Amino acid sequence: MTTQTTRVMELMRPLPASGAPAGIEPSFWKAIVPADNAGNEARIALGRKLYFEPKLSKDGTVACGTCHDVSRGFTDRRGTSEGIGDKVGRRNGPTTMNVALFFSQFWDGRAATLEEQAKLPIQNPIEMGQPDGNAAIAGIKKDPEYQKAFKEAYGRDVNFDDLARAIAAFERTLIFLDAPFDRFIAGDMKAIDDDAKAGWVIYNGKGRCTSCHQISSSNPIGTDNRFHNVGVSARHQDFEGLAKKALVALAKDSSKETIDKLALETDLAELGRFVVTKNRADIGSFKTQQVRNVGITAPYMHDGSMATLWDVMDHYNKGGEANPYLDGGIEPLALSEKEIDQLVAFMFSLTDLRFDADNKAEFARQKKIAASKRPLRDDAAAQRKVLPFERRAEGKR
Amino acid sequence: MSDFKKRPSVKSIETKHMEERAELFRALKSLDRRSFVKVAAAAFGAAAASGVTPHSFQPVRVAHAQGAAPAGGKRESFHFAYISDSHLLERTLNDRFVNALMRAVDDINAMDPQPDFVLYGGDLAQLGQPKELELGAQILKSVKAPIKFMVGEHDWYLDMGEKWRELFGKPLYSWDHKGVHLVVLNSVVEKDFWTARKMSPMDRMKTVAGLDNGWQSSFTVGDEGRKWLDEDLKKVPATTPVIVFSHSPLYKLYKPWNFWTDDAEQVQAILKRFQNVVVFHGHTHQLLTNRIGNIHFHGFLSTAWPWPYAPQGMPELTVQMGRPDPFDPQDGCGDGSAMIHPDGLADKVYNLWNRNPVTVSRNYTASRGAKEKPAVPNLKSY
Amino acid sequence: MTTNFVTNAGPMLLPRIGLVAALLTVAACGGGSGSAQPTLTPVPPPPTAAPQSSAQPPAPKIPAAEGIEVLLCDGKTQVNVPQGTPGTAIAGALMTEWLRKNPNSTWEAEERERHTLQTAADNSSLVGQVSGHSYGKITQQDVALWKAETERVATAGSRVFHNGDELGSTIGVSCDMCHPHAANTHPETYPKFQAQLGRVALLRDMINWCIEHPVRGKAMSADDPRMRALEAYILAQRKGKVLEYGKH
Repeated sequence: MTTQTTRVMELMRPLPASGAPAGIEPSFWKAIVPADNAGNEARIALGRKLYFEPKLSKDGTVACGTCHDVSRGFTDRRGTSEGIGDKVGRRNGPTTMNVALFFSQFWDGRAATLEEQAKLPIQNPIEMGQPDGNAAIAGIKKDPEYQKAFKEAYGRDVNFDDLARAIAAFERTLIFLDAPFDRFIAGDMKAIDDDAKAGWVIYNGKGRCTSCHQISSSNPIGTDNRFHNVGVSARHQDFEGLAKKALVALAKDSSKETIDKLALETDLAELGRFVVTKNRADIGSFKTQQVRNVGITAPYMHDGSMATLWDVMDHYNKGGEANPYLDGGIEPLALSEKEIDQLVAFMFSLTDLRFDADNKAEFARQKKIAASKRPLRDDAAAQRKVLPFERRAEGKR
Repeated sequence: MSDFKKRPSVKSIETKHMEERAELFRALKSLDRRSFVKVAAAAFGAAAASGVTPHSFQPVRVAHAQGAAPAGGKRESFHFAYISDSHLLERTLNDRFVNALMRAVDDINAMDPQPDFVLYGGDLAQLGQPKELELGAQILKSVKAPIKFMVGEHDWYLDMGEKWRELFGKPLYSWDHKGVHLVVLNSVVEKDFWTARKMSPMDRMKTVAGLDNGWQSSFTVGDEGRKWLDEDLKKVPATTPVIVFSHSPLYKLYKPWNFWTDDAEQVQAILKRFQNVVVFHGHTHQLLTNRIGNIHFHGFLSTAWPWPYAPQGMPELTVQMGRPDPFDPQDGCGDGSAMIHPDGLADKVYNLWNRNPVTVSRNYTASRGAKEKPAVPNLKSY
Repeated sequence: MTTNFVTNAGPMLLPRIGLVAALLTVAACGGGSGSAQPTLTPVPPPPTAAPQSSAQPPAPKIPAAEGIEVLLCDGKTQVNVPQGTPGTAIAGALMTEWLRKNPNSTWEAEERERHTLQTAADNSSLVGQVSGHSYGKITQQDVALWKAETERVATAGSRVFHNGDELGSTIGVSCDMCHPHAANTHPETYPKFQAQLGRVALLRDMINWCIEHPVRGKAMSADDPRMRALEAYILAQRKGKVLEYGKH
C-alpha cells in the first residue's frame, strides 16, 4: 500500500484558484461537494491514509486500494473483485477515478454519495467483511496517529461517519481529465490521430454512444447518470424468475445492507437497479459508466465479462442482447471493422496523460487478444440481417 | 402576437358541437332506442343542413343506474393480449419496425398465464403492400395463443382490402367467449376521395398513410358496417357484456388526425341498449381512456412509434402517458393486455417498453375517474 | 435574388429528386445568378402572324429558318420563336410550355390542401400609414409579396417534412410520422442544453439528430434549402406559442 500511497501523491496536481479541479465547471463542482465535507489538507490526508488501510477489513488484508489499485487504473483488472478470504463477488470493481462526478455510486446506484458508498464495502461479508461500523474502526480507534488525524480533520474522535467522509474527500481529489482528447478539444489538432478523430465523429453519430455516454463541458466523464439494460445480464440468467425471487426477499427485509449483500452474493445481482428501486422498468439495468480512462480499466461491464474494448464494440454493434427489458435505444449499429477500430482508438484517447505508458501497454495487450478472439462478434446481427428479437420471437432463445 | 383579451370569446367547432350534442341528449334522455335513433337522425339531418354536425366527446349523463353491478349468472373473468399498429415496411427497407413487432411477439409468448387470445389491432402494413402484409402474417404465426385480426387504414387502401381478405378473412366478424360477445369492425371506411383526383392506388394509399393529410375523408364504420353490427347484435341480450374492437376510436377526438369516427353517434346508439360495452381501438398509438354513457373506451399502444396527444378534444378520463423520449426509438411503444371482469368491464394494461406498466382499471372508468386514477406523468405533452 | 424553393417534382408522386439536382434547379432559376425571378403567370401564346380569314384556313406556318430557339433555365424547356418576338411573349411561351410538361407545378396549392399551414402574420394594418420616411411606407403589394414568399418557403418545408425521400430517409420514415402537423416539435423551447447532443442545441441541431437517427438519413448543412424550409415550416406551425428557451 505504501507504493500506492506514494504513487497517488505523485499524480496529484495543485487545484486552480477556482477551487474546482481543472476540466470541471466550477459552478458544477460547487454543487457536488457537500457543505459539511469540503476538501482540505487534513481531510484529504486522512482519507488517503484510510483508503489504503487494510486494518479496516475483518482479516486485515483488504483495503479500498486492494480493488481500486492506483497502479492498475484504480481498479483490480479482474472480471469480478476478490475480497477477504478469497471470496469472489459478482460485480466488476469500477475505477475510483473521477467518481466525484457521478450522481450515484455502485453499478446499481444504491449509494447517493461517496460518503454513503465508502461504508458499504467495509461491511460487506465478501468484500471487507466487517459486521458493522464499530468493528470497522476497532482496528484504528486506539492508534494515536489516527486519533490526531480525525481531530484535525473533523474535530471529533475516531468514528465511522467521519471515516467515510474522509475517504470521500480523498476520492474527490482523484480527478483525471487531462487526456489527449482534452488537448484536441482545446485546439491541438495533433493531440490525437485521424482514427481517433473519426471515432469521435462516429461516437456522436452513427455509433449512438451519446444516447447514454454524453460528454459535455459540465460533465466531461461520459455518462448520463442513468441506468440502462443493454443486455449484458441477459447472457446469464432468467430474468422473470429472478425478479419474482427478488420481490419475495426484499419484502422480508429491505435495508441497504440486505440489498448490498443480495447484490453481491446471489444471482439477484443480475437484476441491477431493480433490486434498489423495485421498478419493473429497472430490471437488468446498470449505471452508465464513464468512458474516461476506459483504456486502462479492463475488463468491462458490471460483470467484467468483456475483456477488450473490441468486445464492447461487438456487443453494441449487434444490438446488445435481446431480453424483455432491453433499453429501446439499443439497436444494431451496422458499424464496419474500420469504424470499430476508429471508435476504439477514440476511447483510448480518453486516458489521462499521467497514465500514458499504461494506456499504450493496454492498447497493445487488448489489440493482441482481439486479433484472435472476438467472442461476441456477430456480423449478421450487426448488419441487421438477423434482428435482435427475431430468434426469441420464433421461440428459439 | 394577436391581442387575445380584446377578441370576442370564440368557441371552437368542437366545443360548440359538444354543447349542442349534450343539449340534444338531455332532450332525448327519456326516449327508447328506436325513437332515439330516429330523432337523432333527424337532428343530424337538421344540423347537417345548417352546416354543423353534433360531435361528442363528453360523457353523457344517462338517467339510469351508474356503475352496473355484475350481471346475473356466473361468468368468469378472462384476459386477452394485443399487439397493434406495427406499420411494417419490408425488412430490407426498415428493420426497426420489424424488430419491434418481433419484440411484441416475444412479450406475448412469455406471458404467464397465456392469454385466451391475442387481438391484432390493425395497421399491420405501412403502405398496404402484399409483401408487408405477408411479412406481418409470417411473424405473427409465431404467436402461441390464438390470434384474431382487425384491419386498419394502412392495410386497406392500396388494394381496398384484397390482400387482407386473402390473408385474414372477412374484416367484420364476431364471436362469443366465456359469456361475452365480441365484435371486430372495419371502422376505417372512407368516402371516395381518390377517383375525382384520378389517383393511382399508391397515391391513394400514401394519402391515407399521412395522418395529417387533409385529402382523405374521415373514418366511418359506414352504412353497411352499421347494418351488419345492428344485425349481429340483435340476438344479444342487453345484459350480455359486449366488447367491440375497432381501429378508429368510435368517438370524436380530433378530426385533423382522424382520431375520429364520423358516424360515432350512430354506432354508439346501436350499442346504447347494452349494460356494459367496452371498445378497444387502435390508430392513436397512445394511452387513451374515455367513457360515453355505457361505453368504456381504451386505446392500444403501437409497436412502431407513439403519436403526440391532440391539441384539443382530449377525453376527461385520459391520464396521458408521459411524453416519449425522442432519444429512445421504442419509448412510448409497446403492447398490452386486458382483464375482462365478469361484468364485462376491463382492466386495461399498457405494457410500455422500458417503463413501468400502466393499468387503467375497471374501477377507474366505472367510477368516472373517482377511483384508482393512474399516476400523472412528470413530463407532459407539448 | 430569391430563395424560392422551386422544384419540378410533384409531392410524393415522382421518384426521389437527387439533392444535387434540386440544388441545381434552385441555383439555375435565379438563386445564384443575381437576377430576380419574376413571378411568371401563364399568358396566352403570342398571336400568329397569319391573317384570320373565315373563307379559307390560313396557310400552315412553316418556322422561318431564322427562328430563335430559346431555352429555359431548367435546361429542358424550350420554344422556337421568330426573330423580333418581344421578350414578354417569349417568357409567356416558355411558361406555357413548362406548365404543359409539368402538370404537378401546382405543388404549392396541393401541399397547402393536403397539409394545412398556419398563415403568416397579417401585415395589412401597416398599409397606408404614413411614417414620414421610406422604411415606414408599406404598400398593398409589399404585404402580398411578404405573405406569398414567406408561406411558400414554409409550404416547401411542409413538402420535405412529409416526404421520406426528400429527407433522405433510408428506412421510409418521414417527420410527420411522429409529428403530424409538426406537433410535438416545440421549437419555442430552443436553444436548450441537450445532453445527448453534448451541447446547447438549436432547432436545426435537433432536426439533424432526428434525420440521422429516427429517419436514418444524412444530416443536412445549416444552409441546405431543405433545412431552411423545414425550420420555416416548423416555426410556422407553432405560431403563437410563447418562447421559452431552455425548457425541457
